[in-house]
Amino acid sequence: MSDGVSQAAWSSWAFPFWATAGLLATALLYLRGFREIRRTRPLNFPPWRAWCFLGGLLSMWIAIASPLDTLDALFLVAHMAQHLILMSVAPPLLLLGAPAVPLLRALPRSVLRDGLGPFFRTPILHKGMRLLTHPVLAWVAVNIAYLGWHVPGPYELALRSPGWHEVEHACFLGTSLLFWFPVIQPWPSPSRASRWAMLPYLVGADLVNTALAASLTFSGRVIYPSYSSLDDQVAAGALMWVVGSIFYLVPVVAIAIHLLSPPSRRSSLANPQPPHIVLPQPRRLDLLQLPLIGYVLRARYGRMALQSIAFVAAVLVIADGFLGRPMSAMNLAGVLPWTYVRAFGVIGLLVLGNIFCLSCPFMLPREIGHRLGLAGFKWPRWLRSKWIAIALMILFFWSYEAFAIWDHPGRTAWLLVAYFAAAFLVDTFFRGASFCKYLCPLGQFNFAGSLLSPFSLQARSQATCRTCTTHDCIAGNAQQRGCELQLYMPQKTGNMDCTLCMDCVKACPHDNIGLFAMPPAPPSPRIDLAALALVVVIAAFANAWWMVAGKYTALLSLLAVVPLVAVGARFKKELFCRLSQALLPLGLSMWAAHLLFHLFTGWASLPPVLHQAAADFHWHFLSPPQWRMELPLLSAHAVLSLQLLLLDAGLLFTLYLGWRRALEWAARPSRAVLLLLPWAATVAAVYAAGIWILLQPMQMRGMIMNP
Amino acid sequence: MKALRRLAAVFMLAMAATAAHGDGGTMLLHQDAGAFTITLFAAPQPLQVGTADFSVLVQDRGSGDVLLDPMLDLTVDGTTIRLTTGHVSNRLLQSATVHFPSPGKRRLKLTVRRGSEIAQLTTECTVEPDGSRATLVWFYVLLPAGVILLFVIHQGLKLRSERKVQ
Repeated sequence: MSDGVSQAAWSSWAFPFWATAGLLATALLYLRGFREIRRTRPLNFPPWRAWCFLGGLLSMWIAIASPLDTLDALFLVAHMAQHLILMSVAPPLLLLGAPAVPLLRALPRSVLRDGLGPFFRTPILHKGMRLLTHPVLAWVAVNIAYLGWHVPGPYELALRSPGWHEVEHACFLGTSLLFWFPVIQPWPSPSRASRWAMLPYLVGADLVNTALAASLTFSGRVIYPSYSSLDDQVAAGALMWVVGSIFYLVPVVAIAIHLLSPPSRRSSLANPQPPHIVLPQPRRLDLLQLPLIGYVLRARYGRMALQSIAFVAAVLVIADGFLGRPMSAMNLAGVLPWTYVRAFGVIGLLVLGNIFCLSCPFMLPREIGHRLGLAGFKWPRWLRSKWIAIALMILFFWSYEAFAIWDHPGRTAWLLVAYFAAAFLVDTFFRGASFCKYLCPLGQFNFAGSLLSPFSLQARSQATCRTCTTHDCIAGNAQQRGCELQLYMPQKTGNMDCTLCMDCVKACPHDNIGLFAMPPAPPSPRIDLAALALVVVIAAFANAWWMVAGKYTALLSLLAVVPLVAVGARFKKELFCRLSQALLPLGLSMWAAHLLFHLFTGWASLPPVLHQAAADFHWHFLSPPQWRMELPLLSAHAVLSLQLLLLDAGLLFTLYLGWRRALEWAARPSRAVLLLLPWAATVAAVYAAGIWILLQPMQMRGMIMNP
Repeated sequence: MKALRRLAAVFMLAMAATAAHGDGGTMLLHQDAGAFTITLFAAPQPLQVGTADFSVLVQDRGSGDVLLDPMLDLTVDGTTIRLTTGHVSNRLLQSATVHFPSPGKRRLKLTVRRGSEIAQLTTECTVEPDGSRATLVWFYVLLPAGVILLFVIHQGLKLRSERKVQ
């Protein structure tokens, strides 16, 4: 191998995205559970267990991502090294970490009790586990897998087919975990066989390994046609023989020493005395208590700083929209709002909360309007619902397509100007946040989406609220105004109408408000909120559909709408409201799948557009734009996988919420099933439409992707 | 019920809009050549095995004016296709449909002729495979089906244990 090839090979680290993400997630989950279990059982879980488990995960990653994986097609010795890691390094390390309890302790208690509990209580699971971890079965399984896959036919098949290669690795890893289970006996599994039996168990496996290694080393001919070098085969055999034997024989020696040591010492090792333990109180995750994000959110001018940045960006978009290039892909107004802001807004809703309203650029002019002192009117009582905002939202979605706003920077600029003007005018004359609460379509979209957000502003202690006499969170005080959207903290459930402005947090004299991780709030019985949820959901599919189906959109969207409304009409109003809001996960997942597609494929659009805008404004501190081809952030298949995964998650969450809502409504589960079936069928049809949409070639609107 | 009917009417109204087609796609190239400034777009992105649309915007290099009358030829894998304004609604662009039968890198050559002026541009694009999409889709469609099955078993077990307790 020449230096160049060698250098290229050794620098060929792969980055298997899903496998890496899975291993990382497992590591984080384990560490979280390990920290919990250490509080109650520190002697059973010394730090070395965590190191072993992490080492096991790392070795798995090295096996699948390092140059070993690249070189395995060229050199048998590299392939054998990879197999050794998967069979003899990763499994024992993982089991030494005693992973079962930490991984389970990392899950929320409700998931463990209600979600996994019924499975863990089934006798069939216990019988299955007992059977699988029986030493005889484990020994036979690992050796069948080991010998079977080293027969030339299956070995060559795995070399030719990446899919079979994965199956081969899964067989090695899975059977090896079973093999090492009785040897390690990870806590708290009971002993299934005498420790003395482990000596022949390991030695027997080593004999099989030795036989195979010897046949490779001394065969005198190339056994696997894909590898042409006999020297390579001899080296691979030697590696299996020497290193493989070490992995078997070292535990033999360790077990033998343990068994031959004095009984008193053995007993103290097996039954460590627990120290006196004081159980800590479980704590809810409060983002306001976190170092950086908490500081920014609570800071007096934290929100204003975010809004100012957004305001400057909006002004630039407007200016470029009016004065810059008419081609949307070369204009800030074609790229920034439609490719970036929308996608990050939806990501924000899914992982944090209503971050768009938190940093809303339209707040600054309406603040100025408030300060003019003309806000003497109350918003009319008969207009205090979401109906106007819903109508405006529908108008926006329609005009976005009908007037191709995304493709006309000037129209985007006009839209923003109209938004600024409306916010300014309404809040100049009306008290409170009338624009945000009753008119703003963007706000309503975010309010609906934030019903699924994982964090919500809540009182830390209801007892403190009960003794509070000033109610500053809503009434405000001399230094800080209260909630302009009239959300009273002790009664607040969910995120509807919450802009995350933090006024209540700053006004509360008892520091009694936190941004807590919360499950979705119960649905509201209001029909306007149900309509809002339906518009968000249907627009998700219609907007994406429009991009792939063009003129057929109207017809097909109608086909989707009619069964939804018809199914809803069969039920009573309250149930209809409950089930409509349960559709939100599916809708939001479609929005996320759609907008993330644009973000991932056009992720590099912004820099050249910024440079172009600077050139158009005759600002010479930026160089001229470089319009050139670059790769998308993720491959087409990775993006599609992510989109489908998001849609799957949305479907499952929607069905789960629907099931919960139907159970709350019906007295018996059988009645809940009957109630839910037509609704679930409609949801499945919408999901199928979503899959179809995602598989179509999509227009790349308003973006310059440097492909 | 009245509110529901009103709701249905609102949705039907909202969905009765006429469609607006977007042209162009993703910018592959923006470059000066001869007397022209040429911008090449492609859709879908990333390019995949199957049909792809290529659109071109030609501007006068000196004034930046859009030129509508140049003759454009796109050569892909030795096959030359004439671009036209026939099937695009954005009349500033000329486009052509190209079929990619297989994945891999492709060399594109664009020739622009206007009167006596001729300019040529070349670039490369990568066509991604499409074959494994079906497997991928089936996996992700069957995934929720599996989870739903597990959930049904879960609810059955839960119900049974609750009945036992009673």
